[in-house]
Amino acid sequence: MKIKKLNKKGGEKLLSVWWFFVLAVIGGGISLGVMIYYTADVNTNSIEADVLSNRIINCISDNGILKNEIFETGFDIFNFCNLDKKMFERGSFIYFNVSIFDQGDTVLNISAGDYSIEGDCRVSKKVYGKYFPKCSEKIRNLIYKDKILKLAILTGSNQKGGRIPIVK
Amino acid sequence: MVNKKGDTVVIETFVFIVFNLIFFFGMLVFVYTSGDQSFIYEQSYAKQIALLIDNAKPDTIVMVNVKDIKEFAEKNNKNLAEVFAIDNSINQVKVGLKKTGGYSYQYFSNYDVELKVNEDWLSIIIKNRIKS
Repeated sequence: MKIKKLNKKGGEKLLSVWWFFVLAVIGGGISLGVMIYYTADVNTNSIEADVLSNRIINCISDNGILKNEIFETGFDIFNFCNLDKKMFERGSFIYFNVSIFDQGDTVLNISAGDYSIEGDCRVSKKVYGKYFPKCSEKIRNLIYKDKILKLAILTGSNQKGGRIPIVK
Repeated sequence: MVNKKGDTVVIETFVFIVFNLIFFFGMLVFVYTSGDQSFIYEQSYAKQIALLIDNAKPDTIVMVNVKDIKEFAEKNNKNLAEVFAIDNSINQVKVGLKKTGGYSYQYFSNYDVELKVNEDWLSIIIKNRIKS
């Protein structure tokens, strides 16, 4: 019976293919790691929502006392608080809702911006979503004409920023 | 009589080494070109300036030290004064460390903002917008 002795040449050729496969996996892993690192985004939406919230509170109240102007007819919160109305129009990345309650009754409600953020804010309390807006919810007890009113303010931001071709 | 086995072994080894060199050289080029951190600084400064504007009251000047991005601007042959720009019509802050572009971020305040660079300091001058 003739036994065919196999040489090692075929083995070397097979291994070289495997070697390139391993290189491709390592290279792919390194490239992926570098790309994940350099495409990482610093999300400041929660800070932005908080800034808006504090801005409105400080604007409509002074040392815990609500300002009289907010209950006047034709009160314009944008003018009063130096907010740009254009940034809160349709297609905006930001939202706010200001509600004032007098023992459960709503005495004032002002909201503007992307209204879908309000629903997303409620969802994001229970579910984590990387691309969900970041929200800030604050409740304050404020004095108005010897009465204590409750101020509830909800703000949210979903701004992503972006690359621009040229900086002028 | 010399056989051709030596020829094939040399050629195979040579091709193997060449493919390896191409791969590692390619990886080095990729990592080197990705190693530029300027886009991180562009993003961080654009957001920082926008948040400072939103947090400020009108008729305020805020000064930010920009020494750490000066070297990136110089490496890309860009004047530090050209790195920062503001578009008041759309409330946009733009920061670009390269000549090819930069990063933009918007602020929601109704202010007219002016940016001035003096040596290592960026002055953010915030004024009430003139209502038309």
